Amino acid sequence: MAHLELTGLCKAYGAICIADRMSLSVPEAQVLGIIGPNGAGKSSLFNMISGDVQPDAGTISISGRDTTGLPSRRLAKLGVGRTYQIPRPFGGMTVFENLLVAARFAGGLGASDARKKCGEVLEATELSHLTDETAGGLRLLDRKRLELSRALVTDPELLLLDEIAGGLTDAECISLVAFIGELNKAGITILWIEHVLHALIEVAHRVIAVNAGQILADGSAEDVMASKDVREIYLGSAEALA
Amino acid sequence: MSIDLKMTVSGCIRVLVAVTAIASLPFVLATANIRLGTEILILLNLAMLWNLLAGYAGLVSVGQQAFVGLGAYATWMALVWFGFPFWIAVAAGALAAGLAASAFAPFLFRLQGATFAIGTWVMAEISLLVIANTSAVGGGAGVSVPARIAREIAPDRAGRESAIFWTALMVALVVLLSSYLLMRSRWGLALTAMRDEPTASEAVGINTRQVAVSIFLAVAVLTGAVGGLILLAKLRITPDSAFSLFDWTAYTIFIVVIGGIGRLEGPIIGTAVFFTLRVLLADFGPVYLIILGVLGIAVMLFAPKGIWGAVQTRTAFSALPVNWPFRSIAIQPNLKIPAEETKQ
Repeated sequence: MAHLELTGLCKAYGAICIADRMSLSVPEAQVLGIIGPNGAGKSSLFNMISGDVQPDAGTISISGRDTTGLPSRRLAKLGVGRTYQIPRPFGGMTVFENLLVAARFAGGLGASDARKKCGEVLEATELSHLTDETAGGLRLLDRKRLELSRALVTDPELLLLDEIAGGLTDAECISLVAFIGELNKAGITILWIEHVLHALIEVAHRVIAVNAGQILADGSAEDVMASKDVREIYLGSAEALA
Repeated sequence: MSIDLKMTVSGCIRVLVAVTAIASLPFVLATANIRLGTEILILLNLAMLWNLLAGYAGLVSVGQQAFVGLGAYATWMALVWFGFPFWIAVAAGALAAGLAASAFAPFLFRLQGATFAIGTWVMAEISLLVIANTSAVGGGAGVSVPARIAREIAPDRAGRESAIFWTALMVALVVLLSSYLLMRSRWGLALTAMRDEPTASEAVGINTRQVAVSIFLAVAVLTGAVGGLILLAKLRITPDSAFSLFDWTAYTIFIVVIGGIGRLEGPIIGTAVFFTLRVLLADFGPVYLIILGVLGIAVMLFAPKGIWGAVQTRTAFSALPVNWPFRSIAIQPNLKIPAEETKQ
């Protein structure tokens, strides 16, 4: 059974269509890379999967259960974790409290289990030196780490990562790719939207290219990158490349 | 954890000493000063409640006078119509305010931010108009507590003032203690998260609407009890005095803002500053209000977190800590820090 199954997903804001009968099946423990130009509907796809936005038509099911129309708080408890492209920290709370609230609510953990879990995740994501800092004062990269950490304390089975590698140094990028690989080895299904393609290709089992609410190409990273449609959309017209 | 326990015990002793000291004030103060004490406690209560609503839940209400007024009138009804003892009458005021809040909530919670604030104002105006047009509760002329019933609280004036002072103190303790326990619970975390980032709060599993409605109702109930206290302290209310935007909401907001919004200590500091200014500037007439306004603007410009916020930023001191410091749990040394990864 597919971990995530989208069938005929449609969503439009007025004349702008961000999902046009999109269907997709993601097996368990796969790392699916999602590429596409700005405004292609990648983040909106995440918003629909995570319940932040409801689709106009179509169904979403997770592990065989129809989750279409469920609010994000329910999906968070059903094992969907996500990061936002523009980080959304709880600015007035400390880094630790940001994680704690996620562990207590979406993670459903008791007080002491939650503290332990948060401590472990902070170590793993290299934020332990900032635990008692106010999240609103963090620099962008640490905010992104915080987004990832906050998703991880809920023990997600399906993890949606929205552009978390942008702006990283090469060393940090290598470290991030290794970390995501480890999460995947632990059995987490990962959907990763990323413009930093070399990072994505390192870890993605499969890549889809999205444009104007449709899936243009679907396959291995090499096949998708080689596809004529993708090159045209991504890099400009084929003539310009020639 | 032993440190935590020690801190809790010493904190409890300190609070107990402070409460005993305040509670014994009526034995040493003149009646007029007990009255002032009650007035201080009433505004402190309103400020703590508004702080909970706006400072922690991010629900900026400018219509809390609706619950003050309804609480006061319901307390009057319970006292005069049904002859209840005064403390049960205050509880009836609380109940009435809670019922009114649950009637208004479905409409108010369709609104957000500034429109929510306007909605609460409309709520207060509607409540005022309904009471002012109900002849059974005196209409625009208002109502008084008959001397006979006032004497039932205590036979002499000093005894009555003391009884009301202690009731106000008890309400203050209930408000302070429940705010503290709330903020120390996971719901306190949820409230702060909601205020900071509603979308992400939902994404981490918080039912933001449920939390917001619950806090709104709880604050309304306690605000209704304060309304009952106001009736007992004044013995005479009119729609304009019981539903006064100025007395019960504008001053309250001033107190919370200068003291430090979103901090439990803020309303306490703010109340102290407000009454000190009032006593010092009592002879200046309207100049007093101008000075309050200038002070409010100055605090917002130069110390946007209020006086207590500024103190906290400089000294990292908190009298009523409700944050969750990571250091209070033992960090296990066997958790390895993946330093080798960063050095690649």
